[in-house]
Amino acid sequence: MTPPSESSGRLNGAINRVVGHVAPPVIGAIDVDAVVQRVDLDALLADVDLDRLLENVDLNAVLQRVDLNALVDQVDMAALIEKVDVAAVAERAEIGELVARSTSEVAGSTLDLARRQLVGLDVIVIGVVNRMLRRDPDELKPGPELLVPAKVES
Amino acid sequence: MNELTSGQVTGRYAGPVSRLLGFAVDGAVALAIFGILTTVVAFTFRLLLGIEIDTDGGQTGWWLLTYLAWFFLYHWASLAITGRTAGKWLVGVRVVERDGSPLRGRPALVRVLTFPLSVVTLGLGLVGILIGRERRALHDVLAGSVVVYDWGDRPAEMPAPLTRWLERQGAIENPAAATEAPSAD
Repeated sequence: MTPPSESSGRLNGAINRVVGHVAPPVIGAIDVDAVVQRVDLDALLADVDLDRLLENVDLNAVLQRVDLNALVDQVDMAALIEKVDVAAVAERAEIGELVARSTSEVAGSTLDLARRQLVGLDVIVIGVVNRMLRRDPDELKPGPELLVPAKVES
Repeated sequence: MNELTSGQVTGRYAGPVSRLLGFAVDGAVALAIFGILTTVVAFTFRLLLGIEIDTDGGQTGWWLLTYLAWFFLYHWASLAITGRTAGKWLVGVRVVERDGSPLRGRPALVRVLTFPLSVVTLGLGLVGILIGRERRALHDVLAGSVVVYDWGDRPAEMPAPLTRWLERQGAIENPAAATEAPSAD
C-alpha cells in the first residue's frame, strides 16, 4: 500500500495534466469580446468607492517621484507661446487703456505742478498789494457767489 | 470770512500772474494758428485759382488787420463755447459771469471787443486785475465777467509749502488742526 502523500501528489499531477490538455481549447473557444460586451461596466464602476480608493493613495509620495524639471524640459515653450494670441490677451487686459490713462495722469500732474507755482505767485503778488493798500484779506470776497459760497459765521 | 481751506483755490478770483501768462500763451497760439491757416489758404489759392497771395509782408497793414480780426474771433469763439481759450486752459483759469454762472455769447463778445480799451488807456484798464476787489480789468467790468481758477475735474491748489506757511500765519484754515482742536464745550 502507498502512503497518502504520495497518492495525493500523483492525483495533483494527473489533474494538472488533464487541465493542461483541456484548458487551451476551452479558452480558445471563448469569445472574450462577447463576454466583455455583456459586462455592465457602468454598474461595476458605480460600486467602486473612489474616495476610499484615493484615501489609500499617498499623493505626496507620488508627486515627489515626478521630475517636474524633466517634464517641463520636454515642453516646447516657443511653440506654446507662438500659439498664444498676445494681442488678444493685451486687449482683454486693457493694457492700451491702462497706458493711455497713466500717460494722461502723468501729463495732468505735470501741468498741475506748473499751475500750482502760478497760483503761488498770484497769492504772493495779491498779498503784497493788499498789504500796500492796508486791506484786510478777510474782508474781500474770495470768488463769485455761485462758485465760492460765503461762509456763515457761527 | 474769506479763508482758504487747505490751499484749494477752485472758483476763486484768478491773480495777475496766471492771467498775464495765459494771455501771452494765447498770443502765441493765435499767431501759430494764423500762420498755418494763411499758408494753407495761400497754397490753395495758388493751386486752384492761380492767384498769388503775398505772405512776405508786402501788405503789412492788411495782414495786421486780418490777424487782429482772427485774434478777436479766436478769443470770442473760445470764450463763448468753453469760457476759456487755450492759454487760459493751460494756466488753469476760466472766464465766468460775475455771479459765477457760465459766460454767455454776448458778454463774451463785449469782453473781446472792449479788450483794446483796457490796453490803449496805457494799461490803466488792466490795473483792476492787480488792485480791484474782484480783480476785474476794464473789459471785465464792461462785460460783467470775472476770471476764476478752474482746473477742470481736479481741484486748483496752491503749492504745499506756501499753504503750510499761510496756515502758520493764520491766513488760511488748517483742517487737520481744526479737527484736532478740543471742542469749545
